[in-house]
Amino acid sequence: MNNRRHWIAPPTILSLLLIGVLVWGYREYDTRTRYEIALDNHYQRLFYDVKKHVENVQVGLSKALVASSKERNILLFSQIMSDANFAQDKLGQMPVSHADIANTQKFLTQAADYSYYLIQKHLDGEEITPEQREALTGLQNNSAAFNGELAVLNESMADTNFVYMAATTMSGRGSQEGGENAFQTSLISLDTEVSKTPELIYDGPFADQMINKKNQLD
Amino acid sequence: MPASAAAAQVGSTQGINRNADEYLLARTIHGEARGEPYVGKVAVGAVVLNRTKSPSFPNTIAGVVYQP
Repeated sequence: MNNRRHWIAPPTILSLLLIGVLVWGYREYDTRTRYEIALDNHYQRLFYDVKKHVENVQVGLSKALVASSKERNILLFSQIMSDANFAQDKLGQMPVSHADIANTQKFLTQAADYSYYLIQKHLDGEEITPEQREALTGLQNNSAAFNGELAVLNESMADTNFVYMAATTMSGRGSQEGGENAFQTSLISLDTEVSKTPELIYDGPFADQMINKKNQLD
Repeated sequence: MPASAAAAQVGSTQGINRNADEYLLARTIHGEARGEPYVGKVAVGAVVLNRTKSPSFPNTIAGVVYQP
């Protein structure tokens, strides 16, 4: 009698433990799926917002290039400044490594900063000079290229086979396979195109002559 | 003047449309009101658009749709 009872107990305990572990494992999987969905929603929202802000930057720059009155220009440039700042901020939150978007972020920050500089010039009573017009055209070409890439990405996201960003970046496979993210590859091509634009020299904290300043103590 | 004319030609706004927003709204309506009659789907779309217009909700369609 004692023998029989003793060999029933361990399998019972072990099977209960197994069921407990399976339940725990399923709950972990469920929680992880919810986190993935929430994170992916966050990245999707950021992507759509970046697209909208860069579109507004391009439209604003087009209007600024054809506008004639200083008051209208001040309003336009303040909108461009706000949209470029938002675009740069939200682009920095996306799951892309910094090296791939460094030039794009630089272009967006300089667009915002240059708009602020032009607002100051207008408040001093000066009109836009041809060099500034050239610089604005360069900025607008860059934003048009950016919009083109974002539109292509939007088309690819409408496909049902699109691999969402959170799944590849968080699982660690993405970094090993060299980033099969369609998002990342198109941003890399945009970044190399943006880096070819000429330097932007003006009086502001993010201008190119501030970045390339040599050490004054030497 | 030539500089501005050239700038006006190059600086166009081709390729800017609201396809992305429309597509996102369409997917949201389908996700929320798949089995409902037409009126239900219109109601979902109206809620999203009214929220973008209201100051206490996010200002973009993506912001409203993906709000936690």
